[in-house]
Amino acid sequence: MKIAKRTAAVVVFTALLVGIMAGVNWLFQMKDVDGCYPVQMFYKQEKNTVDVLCLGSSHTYTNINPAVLWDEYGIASYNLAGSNQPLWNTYYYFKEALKYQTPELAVVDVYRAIETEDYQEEARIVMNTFGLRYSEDWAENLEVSLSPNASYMDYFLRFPVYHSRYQELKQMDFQLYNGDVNRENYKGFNLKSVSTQVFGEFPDVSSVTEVGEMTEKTQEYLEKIIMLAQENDVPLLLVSAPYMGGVLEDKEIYNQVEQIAEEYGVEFIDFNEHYTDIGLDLERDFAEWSHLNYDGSEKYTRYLGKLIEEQYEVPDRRGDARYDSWEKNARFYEKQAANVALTKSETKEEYFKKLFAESERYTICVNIAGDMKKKEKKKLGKLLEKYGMDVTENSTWIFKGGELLYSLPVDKKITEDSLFYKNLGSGSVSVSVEMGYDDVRGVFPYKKIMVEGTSCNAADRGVNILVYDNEFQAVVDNVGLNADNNYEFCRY
Amino acid sequence: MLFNSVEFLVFFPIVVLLYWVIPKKIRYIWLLAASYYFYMCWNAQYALLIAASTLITYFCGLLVDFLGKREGRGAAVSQKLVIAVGFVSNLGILFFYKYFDFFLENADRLLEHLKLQTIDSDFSVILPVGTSFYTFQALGYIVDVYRGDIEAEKNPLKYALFVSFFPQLVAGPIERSKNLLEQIRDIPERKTLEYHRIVNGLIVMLYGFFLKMVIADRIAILVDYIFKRYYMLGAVELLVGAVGFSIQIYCDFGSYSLIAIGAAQVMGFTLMENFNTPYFAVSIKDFWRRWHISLSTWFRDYLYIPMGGSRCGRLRKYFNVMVTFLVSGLWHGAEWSFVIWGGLHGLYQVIGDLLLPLKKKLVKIFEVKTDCVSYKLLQMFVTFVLTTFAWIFFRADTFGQAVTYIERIFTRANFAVLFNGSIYELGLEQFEANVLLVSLMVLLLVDLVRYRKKQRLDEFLQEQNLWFRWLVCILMFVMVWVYGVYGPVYDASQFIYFQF
Repeated sequence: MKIAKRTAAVVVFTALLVGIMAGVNWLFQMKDVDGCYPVQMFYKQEKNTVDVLCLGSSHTYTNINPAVLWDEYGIASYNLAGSNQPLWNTYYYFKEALKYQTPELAVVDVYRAIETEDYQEEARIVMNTFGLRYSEDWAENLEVSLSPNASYMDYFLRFPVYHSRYQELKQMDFQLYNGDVNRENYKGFNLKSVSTQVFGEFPDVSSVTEVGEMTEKTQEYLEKIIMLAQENDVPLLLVSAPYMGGVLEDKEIYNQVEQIAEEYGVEFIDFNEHYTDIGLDLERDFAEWSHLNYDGSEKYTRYLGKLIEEQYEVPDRRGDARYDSWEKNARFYEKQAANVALTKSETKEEYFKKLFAESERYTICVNIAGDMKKKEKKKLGKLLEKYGMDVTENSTWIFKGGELLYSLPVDKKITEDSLFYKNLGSGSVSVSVEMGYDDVRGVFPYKKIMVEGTSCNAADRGVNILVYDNEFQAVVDNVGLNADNNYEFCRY
Repeated sequence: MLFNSVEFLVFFPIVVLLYWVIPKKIRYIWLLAASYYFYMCWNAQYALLIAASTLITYFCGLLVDFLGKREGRGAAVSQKLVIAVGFVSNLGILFFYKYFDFFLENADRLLEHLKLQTIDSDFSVILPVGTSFYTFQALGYIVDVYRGDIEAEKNPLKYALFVSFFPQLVAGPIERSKNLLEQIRDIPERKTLEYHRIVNGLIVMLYGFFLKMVIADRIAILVDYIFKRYYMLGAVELLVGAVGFSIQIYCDFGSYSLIAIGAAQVMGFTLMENFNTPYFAVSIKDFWRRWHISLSTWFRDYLYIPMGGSRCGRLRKYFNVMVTFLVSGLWHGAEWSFVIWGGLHGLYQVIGDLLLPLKKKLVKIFEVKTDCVSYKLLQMFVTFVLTTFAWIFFRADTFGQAVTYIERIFTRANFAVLFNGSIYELGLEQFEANVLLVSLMVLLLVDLVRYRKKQRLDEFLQEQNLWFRWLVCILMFVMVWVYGVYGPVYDASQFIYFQF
C-alpha cells in the first residue's frame, strides 16, 4: 500500500512538473513572425494541401502574398521563410516541409546566396531554427548553423536560450496564435512593409556580366536544395525578388546561381531584370531598399503567379472545401489591405470616404481639440457633416459598426470624471476627464478619448481620429488633422 | 563539470540509476569511475595529480597503521616520519601548484628591495580545481589513522573513492575519514532505495541550485559592477556591494555544499554539514562554528589543537588563533588580500577576547539586558558588519583596492541614491532587483527555520502537508528554471570556492 501510494505520488508530481514545464515553455518560446511563427503555423496546415511552397528569407515573406496567389490564380501557397535566412537553414526548412506536404512547386528566393559568413549571429540562428520540431534533421541543422564556439547543448535544449525572456513577455505571448485573429488560416505573409521609400531609377542589372563566387557553404546548400527537390520530384523555381539596394554588387552572385541552376537543369529568374515588366513604380512600391511594400508585393505576386500558372502544373483549388483556409486568409488580407489603404489616403475627403465605407468593421472616435479656425470650421465641418458629425453641435463622436454611440455637445461643461465607456471585445473605448496644466489656463479639465491604451490626441489642435478594427481587435489608425499645419495629416 | 551545467544534469541521473542497478559489492568501483570522469571533465591530466596524492596517502595510511601496531620507540619515530613524508609530499604538490607563483613574486619583491638579482621566471602554473579540498581530506585521513580513529583502508579503490567522491571533490565539504570512508565500506550493507532519503536529497539539491542560480549569480552582477567601478561610486553603492558580496559568497559556497550533500544523500551517503546560518552568528567565534564548518573543524582538529589550542597561556593561545587564521587565509588563495582576510578574523577573535572583561563591565554598568532578542540582534549585526568588512579584502583584486574601497565608504556619503532610483543602475534593473529581493526573502525564511527549529528545508517540508510541500518544490523549481542565471548570454561564473 505504502509503495503504491509513493509510486502514485511520484507519478502525479512528475506529471504536474512536466505539465508546468510544458506550459512555461509554450509561454516563453520564440514566436517571432519573421522566423519561428511561420514554421509553427506551417505544422497547423492540413497535410498535403500546400501546392506552392515558398522558401527563403524576408524577401519571400514580405514579397510573395499567398492571398493574391489565391485570389488571382487559385494557388494554395505557403511562405515558409525566416529573416535573413541563409541557404543552409532554407535547406532544412525545405526538408522539414516535405515531411508534411507534397508541393507541386517549390519557389526558393536565393537572396541570401550573398551570405559572406559561414555562421550568423546567434539571435538569427535562433530565429531560423527554433520554430522547427525536434528531429534528427533539426539537430543537424543546428550543428551546421552554430559556430564551433557556441554552446550546442544550450541551443539544443532551447529553453536556456529563451528562459530570460521573462522581461520581454507581451500580451500576445499569452494568447493562442500569438493573438493573430487570422489564426490557422495564416499563410506566412508578413504585412509589415507598409511604408514607402521613393527611388530615382531602377538599377541596370543586365550590365553586370561578371560571375561572382558565393561561399563554399552557401553553394553546398544551394546544390543540396536543388538535389532535395529533384530527389522528391518537386519542380523547383529559384528566384530573386526585386529590390533596390546593392543589386548591382549582388548580381555577380546571381550570375553564379544561374550557372549552377543551369548545370542542374533548374530555372532561375532574377526579377531585378523585370522591374518594368512587373509594373513596379519607383515612387510607390518599395518599402525600403530591400523589400517591396504591400502595393509592390501585390504586383510582384501577380507577376510570379502568372508565370507559375503558365509554366508549372499547379491546380486551381478555388471552391475546394479542403482549401477554405486559403479563402479565409484572402478575405483577411482584403480587410488588412483596406486598413493599410486607409492610412495611406492622400486627402481628407479620400480618408473619410474610405473610413465610412468600411465603418461596419470599425469603432471610430472623432474629437475636435481646441477651437477651429472659422474658415476651416466651415470647410471641414461640411465634410464631417456628410458623415453625421455636426461641428456646431458636438465636439466628440464615437461610432461603432456604423452607428453613432456617443456624442458630446460643444457647450457641455465637463465635470464628471467618466463620461462614456463601452466594451469592444478584448478592448474598450472610453471618454474621461483629466486635469491638464499650462501657463495660460493654469489647471484645466480636458477630455481624454482612449481605445485600450491608445489616446485619440495626435494633434494638439485640430481634428483627431482614432480607428479601431472590431474584428482584428487592434487600432488601425491614430491620426490628426493638425490645425497648426493647415489641417494636414499628422501621426505619432 | 559544473553542478549548474547541462552535463551534470545528464551525468548525475545516469550515475545514480546505474549505481542503484549494479551489484552492491562493486558499486564503489562505479562511483570511483564516475568521480574520476567528473574530475577529468575539467582536464584529464588533473587525474594524475589526484591519483598521485591518493597513492601517497594510501601507502602512508597503511604504513602508519602497520607501525602503530608495533611497539618501541623506533616504530613511533618511523610512524611520525611517514606522516611527515605524507604531509610534505602532499603539501609540496599543493605548494607547487598553488603558491609557487606567489612565492616567486614575493621573493622577487624582496630581492628587489634588497637590491639583489631577481629570479625573473616566466614559470606559471594553473591550480587544478579542488586540490586544496582533496589534499586536506587525504591528510586528515593519515592523522585519523595515526590517532587510531580509523583503521587504514586496505582496498586502494575504496580509498581512492574516499579521496575523489565526486559530489564533494572540488569544493567540499572536506570529509572526515571516520564519516565518509566508513560509509564507503558500508555500501553493501545499506538499503538502496529509501524514499524519504532520496526525496530529501533532491529537495536539498534543488534549494542549492536556487541559491546558486537565482541568488548568487544574480547578485554577482551587482557585486561585479560595483567592485569594478569602486573608484567612482559613493558610500551607499559600496556598502551595497560589500553586503552583496557577503550574500553572494554565502549563497555560492553554501549552494555547492548543499548540492554536494543532496547528491550524496540521493545515493545514500551522509556528508557533514558545511554551513549553518552563518549570518545569524552572534560573534566571530560563533561565525566560524557556522561557516565552512568542514574546513574550520579541520583546522581546529589538525592544526589549532595540535599547536596547543586554548589549553595554554593566553599569549600562546592568541598566537595559535592567529596562525590558524592566517593559514586559513592562505588556504583560500595565494594572495596577500586572503592572508589579510584571515588575519582580520584572527584579530577579531583576539581583540574580542581581550575586550571581553570591558564588555561585561559595560553591560553591567548600563544594565544591558543580554537575554533578549534585541541584544542578540545587535550581536548579529556587529558580527555581520565585521565579517562583511573582512569580505571586502577577500573580494577586492588587490590590497590597495580594498583600502580605497573602504576609504570611500567613509568619505563619500551619497544617501540620495537611495531615493532617486539610481540604485537600479548598478547592473541590476528594477525587475531583476525585485526577483533578487523575493529570493532573499526565501533565503531568510529558510535560514530562520534552520535557526529557530534546527531543521533543514527538506526536514521542515517533510513535516508539512503534501500540497504545501509540492507547492514549495514546484515554485522553487520554476524560480530556478526561469529566473536562474544561465544560458548562452550568461557567462557561467564558476563556484567561487573552486579556486581555493
